[in-house]
Amino acid sequence: MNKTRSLYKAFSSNLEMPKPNGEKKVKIYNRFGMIAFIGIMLPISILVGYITFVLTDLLFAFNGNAYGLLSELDLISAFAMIFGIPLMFSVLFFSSDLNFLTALPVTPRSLYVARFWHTFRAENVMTSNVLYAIYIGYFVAAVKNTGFAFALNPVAILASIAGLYGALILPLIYCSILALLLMLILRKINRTDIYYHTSLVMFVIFALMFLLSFRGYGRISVMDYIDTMVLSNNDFTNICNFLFPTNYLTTLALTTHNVLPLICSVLIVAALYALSVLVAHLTYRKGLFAAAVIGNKKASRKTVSVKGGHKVLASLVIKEFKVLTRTMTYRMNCVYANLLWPIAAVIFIAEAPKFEFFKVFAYKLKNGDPLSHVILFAVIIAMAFIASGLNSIASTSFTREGVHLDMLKYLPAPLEKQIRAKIIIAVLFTFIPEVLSVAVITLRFGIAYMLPLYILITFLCVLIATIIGTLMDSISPYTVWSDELSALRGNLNCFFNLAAEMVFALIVGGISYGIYLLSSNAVITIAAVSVLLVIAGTAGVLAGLPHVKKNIELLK
Amino acid sequence: MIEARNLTMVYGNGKKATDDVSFTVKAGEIVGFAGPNGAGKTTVIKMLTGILKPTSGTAVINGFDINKDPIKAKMSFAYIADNPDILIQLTGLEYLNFIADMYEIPEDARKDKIEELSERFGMKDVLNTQMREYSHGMRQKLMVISALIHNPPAWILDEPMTGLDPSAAFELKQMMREHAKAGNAVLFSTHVLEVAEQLCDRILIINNGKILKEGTLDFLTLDNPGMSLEEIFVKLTGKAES
Amino acid sequence: MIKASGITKSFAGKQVLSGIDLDIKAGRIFGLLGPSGAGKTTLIKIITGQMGFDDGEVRVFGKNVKELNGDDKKQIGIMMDNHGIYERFSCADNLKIFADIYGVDHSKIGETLAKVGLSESRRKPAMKLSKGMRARLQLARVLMISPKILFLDEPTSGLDPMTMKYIHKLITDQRDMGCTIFLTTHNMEEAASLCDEVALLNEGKIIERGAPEEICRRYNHQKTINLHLSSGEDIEVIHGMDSAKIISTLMEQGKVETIHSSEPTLETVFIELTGRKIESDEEAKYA
Repeated sequence: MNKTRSLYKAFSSNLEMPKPNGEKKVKIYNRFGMIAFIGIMLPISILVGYITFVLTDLLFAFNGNAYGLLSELDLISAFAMIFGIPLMFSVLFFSSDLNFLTALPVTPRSLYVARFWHTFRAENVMTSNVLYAIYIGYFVAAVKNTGFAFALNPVAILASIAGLYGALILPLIYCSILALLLMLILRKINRTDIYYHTSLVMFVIFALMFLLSFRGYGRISVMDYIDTMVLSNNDFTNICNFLFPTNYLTTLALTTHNVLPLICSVLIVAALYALSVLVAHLTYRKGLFAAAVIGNKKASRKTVSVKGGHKVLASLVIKEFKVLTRTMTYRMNCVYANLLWPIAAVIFIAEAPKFEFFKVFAYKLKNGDPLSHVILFAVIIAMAFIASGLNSIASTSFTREGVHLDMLKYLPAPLEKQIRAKIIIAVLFTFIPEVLSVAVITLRFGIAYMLPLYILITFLCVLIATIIGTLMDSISPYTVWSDELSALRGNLNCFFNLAAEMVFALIVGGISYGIYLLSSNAVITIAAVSVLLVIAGTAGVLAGLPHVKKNIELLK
Repeated sequence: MIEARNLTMVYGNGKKATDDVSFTVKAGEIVGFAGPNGAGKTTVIKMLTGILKPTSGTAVINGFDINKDPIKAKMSFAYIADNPDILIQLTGLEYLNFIADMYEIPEDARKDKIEELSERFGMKDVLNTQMREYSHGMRQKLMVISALIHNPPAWILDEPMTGLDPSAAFELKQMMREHAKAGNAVLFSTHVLEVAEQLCDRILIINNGKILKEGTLDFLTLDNPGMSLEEIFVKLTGKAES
Repeated sequence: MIKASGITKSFAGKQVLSGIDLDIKAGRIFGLLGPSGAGKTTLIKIITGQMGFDDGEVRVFGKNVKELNGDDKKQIGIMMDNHGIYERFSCADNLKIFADIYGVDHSKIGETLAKVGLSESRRKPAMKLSKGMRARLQLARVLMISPKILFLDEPTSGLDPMTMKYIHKLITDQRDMGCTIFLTTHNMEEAASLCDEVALLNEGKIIERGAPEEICRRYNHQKTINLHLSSGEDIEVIHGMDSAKIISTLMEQGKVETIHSSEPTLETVFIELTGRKIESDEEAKYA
């Protein structure tokens, strides 16, 4: 036990990003911290908490008060599950420090336990905050409807704690077990590419499974929604009740104050966790052996052929491309994560027409309703900014280089070109999936004539967002990390950047709305904001990039 | 060819990492750069190669000032960094091509050079393997090859022998001699004084950020009769840091 | 202490180790030498039970390596590559983690730091350490557990002569306390002065083994005599039948300024056995 705790402590040390050198930079950092707090944590928490409050409040009338909470828990668990497989795969088997760890006199079991909890903590900082907000929202509504004494029954409090952790732990346990078992099967096949691709296949399968099960999830009219929820006759809820029984059981305990389901859910988590430890005990060592061998094989004896030379910039772009696509962790978090946008867009156009509001919105757009156009315009802008913040490509531009940041400086390629290559790759990886989703939605709404403008706007926003991200990373790149997951998760730059992108999305949205209020004219609003974005983009290229260069030059 | 002019580096906390370091490596010369770990060797090399901007002073390589004319200066030297775990996502060949692209080496020229060097260092069989699968020594060999595919007038090598097996080290030493003989300049830092003894025309000994001694081997031994280079080194730099 | 017989290992059909036999007696320093990519790291991983193998047997402490229990493993110290230093932790905290893992009393931490000369830096975070200090911290980690067997993969690579000597002293002290030491190095002088026995691994096979002096003696035919002529020319004569003749004729002609004979060292033997691949390949082509 002592050993496990020591290992856990050692892993966690990677998560604490050191403050940058120099007072000025610390000041900038603290400011970023504020932006991050105001830009991400606060709005998300308030929004989620408020949604929960409204849903719960509404559902009290129908005696289904916790179903809003339940579907939120299910959603969070489902997402944790989708991203968990590739995550556990790389954490358990392909992390660069494993080579050393396997040499220690630690049982595979305690290595697994330390790894598991470390990942749990690293992954769930944000999510657990959202969950707090959800429960607060729920309790506020409950207090409002049933009074203090009843709502804050000890069983309910305990149930909320169990529910909070259960929703996060259960998916991670499943993913660990799956990763361990998969490795055992794949061991026989012994091919590197298959290991890498399996996790992608699992990722897509889970994503599709959950997204498709949304079909038939409540219509937009309140009655339908409540119907599907209370009767729990939709696929998504069915799947989730089966997969994540703790969500269901703890909400049950939360509303009925019955201890039995609470005890059941705790027992289920404990049993499944014990099962995962048992699986680890039996298979982890073998899996690690197999992973170590993969690291050593594939000495392909192709004849050496020197491919044609590239121009400097092209070569730099190719280098960035390869680093991103060939590192498991980056591939998942930075590259594949972008695929969620087009997938979501396709599902949106496939499913949304069943909803009342979609029909109204589509009709209004087609008939040139100015407010609807401004809203769609603002949504497209927000999507572009957030997509760029979420994939962390820009905000890890320099962090990815790790301790070899020096290389940027001693190569004879001008620093501008190297920075441009990083920007090009970040823009490409974000822009292409973004523009696909925008095109899908625009065409579905039957306003194809807007598409050229939307493409331009998306491009501008992605460019501006990328420059912001790169600029933020250049101030104090996080170069000392022992595994790539820490380069992303232990990296405050990513978090700050996401916050900054959200703030920007908000500002641009606010400006659009403001101009619309003043002019009540969609054409003027869209034109004015477009001009603003063009100016901002040009300023970014002309002023932002030289600033990035200067920051990098000044690094010691 | 390689000229350090009053290189001084002061870090944020006021500590002087190097203090007024000046020296010249002329064409046709091999100069060794020795000193204990933490003496400031790497800092000096980083200033020479444009990785660090000196607080004062500058470096001139092949007539180009590294801070005023960085690209031309960088085109004039090959550099081996002290840690070879760079871009391990690429295959060996991709890495070499990447570096060749950076130095804008034409296709036919690089092809022959890569063939020749990879054969010489016994790396031909693994060029199509990703570098993450290489051992430390293999990565180091690849770094050496990548530095040599372009043929610049100056070589700046930060501890190039570290991690090389004796055969590879032998090849590298041979190539350093050939390179100098062809009228180029070689500066390399090392801990292994035997290597310095075998190769160098001159040797610089640095400690606490200052050049303590500079001279030919004969001159150094003349000054300290009866002592081996290692003993001189120990005498000059004092006890091991702790 | 360590006994291996007939170890064979292949990756994807390519044989990396073939029929390796080793027998390392307790209290000796054994050096494994060989070019990069020869399979040294793979062999260490197999002997320490970090990697499976296809054929053969490894016995450590007289037990099959697959049956070593936790207590046995606690007596084996392994120092490989750069991992295992947690950059944000101080030296003392770094050791504390390993003290917990190996079940060592915390009082050992201060003692060990003193032993490797890091007492003054005990509170420094690892990321601020110089290369030499890092090497000593890594060594402290394995010395702290009072190991019976110590595996050191290139323990002095990239260190200055003084730190190197310091580490050599720590290693020999450890040996004198009865510890068996298994190390790899590319520094042949180090191997010659430190090791009681060395083995040369090339392309997955052990091609030479024995005490360093003994190996050098075996390759005595390689002894060369270097002559510096008055014409400024340097020539190298290989010791053998006609070398004496050549030298005496040159001497008679009064052309020789200095004579310098060089004994084969471990380094020249190494290069002869593993280097110059191209030439041997070419010979093979003509054969």
